[in-house]
Amino acid sequence: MRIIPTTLVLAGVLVGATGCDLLTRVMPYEREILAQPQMQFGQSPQRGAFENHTFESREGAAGGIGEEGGGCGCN
Amino acid sequence: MQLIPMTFARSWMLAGVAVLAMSGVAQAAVAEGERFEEASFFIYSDNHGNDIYTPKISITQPYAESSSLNLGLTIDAITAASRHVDRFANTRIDTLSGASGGGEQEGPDEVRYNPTIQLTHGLQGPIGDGGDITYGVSYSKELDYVARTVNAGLTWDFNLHNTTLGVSAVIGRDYWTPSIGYYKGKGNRARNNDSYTVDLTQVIDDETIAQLVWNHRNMNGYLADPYYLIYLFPTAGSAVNNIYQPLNNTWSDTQQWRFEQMPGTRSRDAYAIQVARHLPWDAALHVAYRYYTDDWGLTSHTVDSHLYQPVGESDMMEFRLRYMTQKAVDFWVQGLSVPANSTTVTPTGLPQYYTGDDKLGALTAIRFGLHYTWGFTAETPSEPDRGFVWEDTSWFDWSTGVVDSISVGYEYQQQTDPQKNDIYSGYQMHQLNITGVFKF
Repeated sequence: MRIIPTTLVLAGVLVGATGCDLLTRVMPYEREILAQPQMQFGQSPQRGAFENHTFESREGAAGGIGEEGGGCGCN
Repeated sequence: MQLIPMTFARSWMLAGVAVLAMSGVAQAAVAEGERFEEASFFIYSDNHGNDIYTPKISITQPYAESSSLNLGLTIDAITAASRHVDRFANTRIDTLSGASGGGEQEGPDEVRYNPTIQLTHGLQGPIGDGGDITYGVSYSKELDYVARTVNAGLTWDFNLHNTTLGVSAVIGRDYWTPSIGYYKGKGNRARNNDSYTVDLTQVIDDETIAQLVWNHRNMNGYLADPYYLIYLFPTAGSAVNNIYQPLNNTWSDTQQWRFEQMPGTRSRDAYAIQVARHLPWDAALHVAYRYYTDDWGLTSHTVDSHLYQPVGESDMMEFRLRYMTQKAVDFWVQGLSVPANSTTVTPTGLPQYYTGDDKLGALTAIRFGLHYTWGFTAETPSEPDRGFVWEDTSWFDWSTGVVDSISVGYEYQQQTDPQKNDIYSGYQMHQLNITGVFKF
């Protein structure tokens, strides 16, 4: 499974290093919609941290989505 | 739902103490700029007797251009964290946590304190003008568990702010001090928990943004729960109703059960992608998918979706649907089968590792949520567009403030376990939250 993170990271670095020529470049004056509150990731950090604390005490998976939980003896 | 008034009152009292304590610290750091405070209160309750009341407060104080100091405090008042029933019947205990103090009681069984300090510096110069460096510390203390973390992270905007690369690390040094049962008085049990994250956020077009995340965690040390018991079956395939009672019902008796045994290391990886897409009626749909795997054999798929619908000028409604499924760790057992030619006193043929912890077993969970946020402010706090403004010279000495927003929400989760046919096959969890954001 190590190939998956490696591929992800390399893809990310590639996209960044090439200046995202492969992707559409949205200029600042075109970002009215992207700047709207409903488009932002991580809208409720406090709620996210509480929920992930709950998830980590009830589920075996962790990480990747949302805030870090932890602070308990959860596996 | 065990809502004990005394617990509730004590939680609010703790919240008040938190506000007082944090206000003093924050005032010492006051400088120019606009201060934000976010205060929340969460209630968690499930159908297995666990109730948690959590006041949280966070104060962010800008102290220079693009830089800020954040102070946070979380308090968990936990009631009945122990399972007062066992896996097979309603009269025994198979998991005992220090929170119980050994039995049910009035009020919170345990209180967890979690202060945090976080500094953020805006980046300027050769590596970019749109990034941040963030670092901080966190400390969490409860009756039998201490968690200490340091964290650092870098975000870097480039490609005309169309791309953001983030890297972060959280180094955790924790330890158990078992407060009851066999391991009580036998010293601390240390656990290291380190987490590393790389994320890449990319603007796809003028209505879509996407993010890739890779999180890797290394755990080592004492990774078991010092209270969790696995019962012994006298012969393979015995019916669960035939398991032995612990002799004399004493927790030092190890004849009919064993403490769970875990490997000393765990390597965990989570890969996630999330996309935010603007919809024609001005709503936004956020969909995230996570694949998780670790070297204990647990794999998991999670889909988490949020629909944000603006209402009027400044309100927001949020709908949530989350689905998660996971496969058990390789050494999950419901009980330990003891060969017929062995004895339960000195059993032979037991596996090296075993656990019956329900969160490490196979399970499926679905979660629904509904939240509403009232927004109260315009662009500047001095020009609010509706209500909740004050000029205050009281003991807070925060001269002018405005309520920026108030959110109220409810979430419900149903968790089922196809692997187990017992009382843990159905968790029902409820979460209530109220959050206020204030500007000063």
